Amino acid sequence: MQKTVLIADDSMSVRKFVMLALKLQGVRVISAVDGMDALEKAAVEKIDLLITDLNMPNMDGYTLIKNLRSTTDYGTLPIIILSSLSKDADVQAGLDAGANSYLIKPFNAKRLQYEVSKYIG
Amino acid sequence: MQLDDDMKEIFESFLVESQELLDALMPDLMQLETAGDDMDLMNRIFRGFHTIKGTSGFMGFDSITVITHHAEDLLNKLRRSELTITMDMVDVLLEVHDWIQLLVKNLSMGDDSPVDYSQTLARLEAVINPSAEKLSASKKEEKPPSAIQSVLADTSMKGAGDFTDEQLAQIQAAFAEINSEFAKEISQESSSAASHSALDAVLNNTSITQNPGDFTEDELAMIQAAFTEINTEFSANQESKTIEKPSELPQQIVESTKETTSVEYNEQSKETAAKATPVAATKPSPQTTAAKPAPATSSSADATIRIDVSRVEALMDLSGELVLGRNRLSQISDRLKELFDNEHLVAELLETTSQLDKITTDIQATAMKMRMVPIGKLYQKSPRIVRDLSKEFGKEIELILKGEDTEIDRGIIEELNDPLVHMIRNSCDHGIESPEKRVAKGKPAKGTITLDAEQEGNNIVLRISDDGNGIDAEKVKAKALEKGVITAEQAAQMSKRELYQLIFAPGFSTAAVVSAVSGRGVGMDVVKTNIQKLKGVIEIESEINKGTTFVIKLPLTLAIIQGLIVQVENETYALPLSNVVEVVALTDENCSTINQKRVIRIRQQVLPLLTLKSELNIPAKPTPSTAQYVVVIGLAHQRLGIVVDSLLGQEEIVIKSLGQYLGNIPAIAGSTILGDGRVIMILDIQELVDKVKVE
Repeated sequence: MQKTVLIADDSMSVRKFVMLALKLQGVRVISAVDGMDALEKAAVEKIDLLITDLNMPNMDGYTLIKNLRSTTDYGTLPIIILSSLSKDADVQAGLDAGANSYLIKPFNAKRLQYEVSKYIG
Repeated sequence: MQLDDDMKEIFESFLVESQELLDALMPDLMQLETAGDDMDLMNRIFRGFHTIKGTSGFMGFDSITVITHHAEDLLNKLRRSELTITMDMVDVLLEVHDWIQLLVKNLSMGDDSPVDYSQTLARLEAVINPSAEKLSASKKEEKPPSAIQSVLADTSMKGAGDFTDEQLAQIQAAFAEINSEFAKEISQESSSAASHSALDAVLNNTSITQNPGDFTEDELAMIQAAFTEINTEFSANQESKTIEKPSELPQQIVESTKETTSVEYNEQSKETAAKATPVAATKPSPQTTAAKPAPATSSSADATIRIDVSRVEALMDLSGELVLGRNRLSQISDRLKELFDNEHLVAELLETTSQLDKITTDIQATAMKMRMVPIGKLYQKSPRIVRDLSKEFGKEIELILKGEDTEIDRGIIEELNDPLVHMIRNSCDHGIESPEKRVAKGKPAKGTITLDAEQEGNNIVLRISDDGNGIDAEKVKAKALEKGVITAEQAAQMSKRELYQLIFAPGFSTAAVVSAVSGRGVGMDVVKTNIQKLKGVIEIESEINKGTTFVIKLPLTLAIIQGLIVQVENETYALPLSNVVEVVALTDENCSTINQKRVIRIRQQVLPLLTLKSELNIPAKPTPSTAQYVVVIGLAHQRLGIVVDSLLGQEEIVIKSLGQYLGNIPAIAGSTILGDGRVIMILDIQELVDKVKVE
């Protein structure tokens, strides 16, 4: 069954880039413009992996992850953070919030695909 | 395998991460046998295989993907309780693990050729579907793993015209989806801002999908440029956030090391947990070191980096050179102090030298610590070996691991691997008795093998003990006589300890029946040779029907030692201080000759004497020195007195190899440079002791 990945990022370029990279990997991708939007999209349909930015309007990535983690459906959802925050403390905060991987922007398509392949075989 | 730079980097990650997963999987699989109903364990194992399947699929390593996929099927059924775990299942999962391990190892050496694991696949199929194995054999539909190989990964090196039809179709389909999804935003953005980059050009070009089937040359070039751009300099400059890394820096994956959260799907926490307790293969026993609390979670991993071993080696070498320079400097400073005691500058120099002295010692200690790894790494393979062997011999054996945290030089660990494996095999085969025999002896049916490591001073002591047969010294003696390893005369004089040592003699084997595992008469001598190469000693303690303990004593490091500097005539030598038991003056009273051999009597003990002067053919000075000392050397249980003219002092010495031209001089272990700049030789204690024994 085709897996569904949700990309949450307020930058359209990033969303498009992630979509292109993952669609070419044979994955279905849906997108959300911020944390709130992502939460709504994830409620409507079952997603298999979340890729999220941290700094977003309305609801930031940390809050999004915490909200998803508190649900029964997404308590164990694999989550990849995609952020330009590159300090160790930022990374740790992201992982503490409940993410499984942390990619620092700029990243390249292959690295993203590789990370995704860890969770969606 | 041909990989471009980006892929190479990912390939490296793949190798490292796969190895970490495999290492973590092994103890978990071993536990599966006894704790098959542990859901957390099962999920952990499943995720381990799942991740390997995913990443190997992405990398296009089909061999790994296919076999992992099949293992996943089995694990899935187990997870859903459609099957219950059996020994056979654990066996076949271990086999799968072995195959993946082999394939990953091959890949790391650049070999991606397939291997034939069809038998393992058949066995997997058989345990998944015991009743209808024939029927289902062809039923399995394989997702072709190569399809996962991404277009992006394929295309970045290609010219625009080199896309395959399939790729073009994929790209087009991707554009179509993306563009329809973004139709509104695209029109907004493309009208508001001029798109400069090739990526924007491609992404915003809605017309690109309007004629499915054929891309124009321009479009192909544009797509190609976009891919190049994506792969090389995609940067998130659209973001309002600050970007701290220049775009050409390789992106980083930062692995989580969180130990515990409510997150179940946490690959990283699993990895760390496995690292913290490298092996927990047997049932937890009171003696086993309990699973440690999470090591200072966030900081420990944050502060971890991987370093090329050669760089650590280089640092180690340089710190050795620094020690030599420091020694020289202190000597010169001391001389200056004698000559110009009142000079203010000399006082300052001395102060600086002593500061440098401390820093050098610290640097050297730090460099040494960088090479240290917990000995638990060495233990990793042992649970599997014990498990396989106990099955093979029909014995019940429990393995207890202790002191996993004890740290030891990385180089030593690597060299220790084979000897340890051999000794464990030996203990399983010769040591532990069959359950019936054990019960008859009034012992529990289940035998125990214990591995224990601890640091004692500058040494690491590793003990491999079993509670089995014990070694019968008389049997060893008889066997050695029969094999001609010793003469009857020698045998009569040998102590129990010396008799035990005979099992390390080449060509010696005490096994009544030669088994496939041990007892081929090779092995134990190799064990001893390997340990001696590491400047270590091995001793045996044994009691009949109680068990046997092999005690291996190894230096913490091979690079820098404390040396006793001695003088013989005009020449100076260094002896490893760790082997020096005591120093006594040589007098007419305590020295005598027995059987034409000079010996020294020290407190009721008679020790053979070895005179360096004659041993090393050192030319005598015109005026022979009168004062003589005996340096008593201890190597394992053996004692030997070495006659020298005088003692010059104690110094930290850096062992330098003599290179291949001079490397094999008897009785010389290496060389070093003293504080005064002189090059001197370091004596090889092992060879000196052996020499006396032969005589």
